Amino acid sequence: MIRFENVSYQYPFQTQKALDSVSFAISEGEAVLFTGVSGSGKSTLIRLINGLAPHYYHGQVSGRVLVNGHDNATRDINRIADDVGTLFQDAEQQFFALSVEDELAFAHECRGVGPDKIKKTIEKVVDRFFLERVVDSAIFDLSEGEKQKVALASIVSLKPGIIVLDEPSANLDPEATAELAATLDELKKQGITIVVVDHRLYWLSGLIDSVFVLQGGRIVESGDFSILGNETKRVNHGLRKTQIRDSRKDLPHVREANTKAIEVVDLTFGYKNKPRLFDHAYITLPVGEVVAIVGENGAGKTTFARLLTGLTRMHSGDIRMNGAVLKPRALLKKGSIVLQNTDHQLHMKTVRAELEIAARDLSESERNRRVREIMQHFNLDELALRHPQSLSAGQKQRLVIACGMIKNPDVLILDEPTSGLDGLNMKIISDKLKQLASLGVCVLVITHDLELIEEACGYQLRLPLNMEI
Amino acid sequence: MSKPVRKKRYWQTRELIVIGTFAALTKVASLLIAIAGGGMNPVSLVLKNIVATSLLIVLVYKVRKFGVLTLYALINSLVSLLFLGGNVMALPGMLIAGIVGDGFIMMTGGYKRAWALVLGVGLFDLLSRAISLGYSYLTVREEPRLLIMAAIIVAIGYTGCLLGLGSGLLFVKELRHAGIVRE
Amino acid sequence: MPVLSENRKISKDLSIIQRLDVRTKMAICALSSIVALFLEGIYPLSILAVASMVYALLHKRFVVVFVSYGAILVMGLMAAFCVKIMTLVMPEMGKMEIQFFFSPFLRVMILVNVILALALSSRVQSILTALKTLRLPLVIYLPAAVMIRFIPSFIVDIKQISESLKIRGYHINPLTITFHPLLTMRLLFVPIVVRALRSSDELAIAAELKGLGYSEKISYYKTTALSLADYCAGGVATTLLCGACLFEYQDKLF
Repeated sequence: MIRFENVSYQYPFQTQKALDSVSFAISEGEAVLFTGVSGSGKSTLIRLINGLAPHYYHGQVSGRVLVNGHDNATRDINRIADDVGTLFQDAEQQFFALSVEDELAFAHECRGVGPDKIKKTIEKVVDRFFLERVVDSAIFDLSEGEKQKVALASIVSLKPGIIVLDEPSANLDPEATAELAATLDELKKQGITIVVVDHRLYWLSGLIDSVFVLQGGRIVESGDFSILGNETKRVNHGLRKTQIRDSRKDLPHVREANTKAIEVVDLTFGYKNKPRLFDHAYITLPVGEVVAIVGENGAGKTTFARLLTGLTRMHSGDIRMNGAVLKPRALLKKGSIVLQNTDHQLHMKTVRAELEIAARDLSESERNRRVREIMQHFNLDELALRHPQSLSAGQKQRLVIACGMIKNPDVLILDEPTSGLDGLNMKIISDKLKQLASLGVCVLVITHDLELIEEACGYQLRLPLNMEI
Repeated sequence: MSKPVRKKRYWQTRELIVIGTFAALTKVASLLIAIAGGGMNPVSLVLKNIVATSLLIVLVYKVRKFGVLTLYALINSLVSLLFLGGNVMALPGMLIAGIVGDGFIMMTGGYKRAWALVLGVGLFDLLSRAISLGYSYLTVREEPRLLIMAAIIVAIGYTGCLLGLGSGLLFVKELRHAGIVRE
Repeated sequence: MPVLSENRKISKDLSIIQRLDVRTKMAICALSSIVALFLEGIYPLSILAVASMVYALLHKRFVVVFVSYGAILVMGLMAAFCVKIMTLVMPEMGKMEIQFFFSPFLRVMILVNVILALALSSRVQSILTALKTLRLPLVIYLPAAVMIRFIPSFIVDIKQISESLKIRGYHINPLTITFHPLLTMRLLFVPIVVRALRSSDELAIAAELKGLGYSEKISYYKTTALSLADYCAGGVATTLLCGACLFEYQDKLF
């Protein structure tokens, strides 16, 4: 079904090959995983399978990429797309329409399919993917899992023989990930070839037939899923774990913590025309610990973070630090939130300038000292003159956390800091969070990443909260 | 189902998408600055135009083809018509401004030359404003002196456009440094 | 504009104006702006101004409509004040006569009313559907559809960027824009432009993979037909506009 014959690829403007002498074969109906650290060539591999390389990205290919017996070099992207459907990490970015129904219709409209036939196809695929509840919805109103489902439904409706998924679990919670695994298993049983590129491995154990580990553009390991169980190899290749305990079940609640540095008293808040998210809630948060804030979508995790840092005003209630009630302005000064989207938080021309502007309230000498210190602490020295937007995902994450830490906050809240990160970078972030907690910061992490929770978190705060005083 | 056709099109899909994206961004940016800074605030008036022209410079760098300004003007006017219903009278004028801008770039060095792009965008901005002033004149022709205030506002705005030509080039340089825009 | 940033489920609970097709409202706007431009008489312009005011108020967004009127009044007064100052400082410009302000004012009122009726009642989704119905060539349809698709997205992005700035102690308001314009612009726009460039690349990739460019012609799954309300509204608008023109040019015609 897919065959790579000694394939090498180099992007334009790059001096090094992204893929180097890669050969493998994937049979029809097989489910294959490609994994490796960031920059190992996984995305390039996908692009070669679906024809984006070289037809969209140009660059130089040597060797042959055969899909269904056809050389991709001799076919254009549209023809390759008949055989290969691609699901990207951020489903919303690939939506063309504003409503679910229109999005499901779009690809068929592009092919000039008649409206009646499109209608029948949509009905089938809505039924198959249980999308009845959301078919009339706007795409921006969907949860990440629902967006993923709609994107996958749209691809499946075109009946490709191969589906390629690029980090499909990155933005999903564990429940949605399990649902995705079940869906892929069903598709595999129908004879569709599944190619998955992902850092998170635990959810694939029942699905994958073959694994290829990439490093530096080459395949360094291959075999069945069990090869990833070798701890030495896993750590050497910077991979995540294949088996993860869901520690949300037994991680102690914050109320059991010994230190109670931050108190949220009588918290009441709800959005307009919606039920209250917090109703006279009381909670204490410890210092010196990393606390996982967990809960389903819509439970109020991000809202809680915003209330805690003064970004959103509560209807009633107080936040107290070491007994003293803090006003919203003071909360903003004492707390820091690192949002999920790193691109939204990077504004300046260089990494150093980004840190300097974050520390602008300090005196010049103090600012310079602090910037130096933080850059060393977060291994950003070599990146000082790089443009922040040119950094890799892991580097950006370290930078935004560094910016959050530079003003020495008492509370640091991070929203999905390890989404889409490989094992190596996840470990780096995890270690940093534990270090920060040990320095007396109250570190709160909103996360679905079970591995991060297992690695770094000592307590959990499960939402929704609805506790009487 | 229509037969698949492999036809060499003048406009590639990605180019059309970039034009639409930047038209959206310019619209949102202008609205945002006007709301955040105050519509009659001369500083926000200048800033709005700096940002819009800078974005236009980035656009012509990304899509270096004859017709980019014309298509951008057409899309902007069409969507403004759909959203806001006006200014149908200015649509032909905007198209002319776009064609003249594109034509000027072609005649003065082509789309590979930075200064031709800058001058073409500057001319496009100037013509667009002249056309909108012409429309304003028709609206207030019984009391043409009212146009003086409109002309002053447009002139203040155009200084923003001129500044935007320079800031646009600086921004392109920065985006190159970030590896987001390539030569 | 509120409807751009509200990504609600498409509601069936619509007012009379909201039930009108976007094409009808567009056509009313376009015709009104053309006709208003050519009319000069106070009476025909007044009739159209009152009719357009009723049309706008049928949307029941009274606060927005009256705030807009207030803004126009303020701008009008400022403009009149400037003219007055000019006539005092430069007497050779002639005297200011209030009757010459009426026609321009009425024209602006007509335009604002029809624009408000369109802007306040149209949802982004219905505008996208209307765009499809126009059956434009791909070279126009595609970028226009992308523009409409991205406007709500960018509004959300900018809100998130503003929040991230607020976290860092920056506030976007008239003062910061006036006194720190360059820094404010950099803080706000560098992330959004980078995001726009990346988003356009990703969408272009998705479009190629979904088969845009596959076929010579694209088909349209959902299009809306004009309803009785559209024909009635169109008829009323056309009658009023023709009536106003007749009123204006009755001396020449009869």
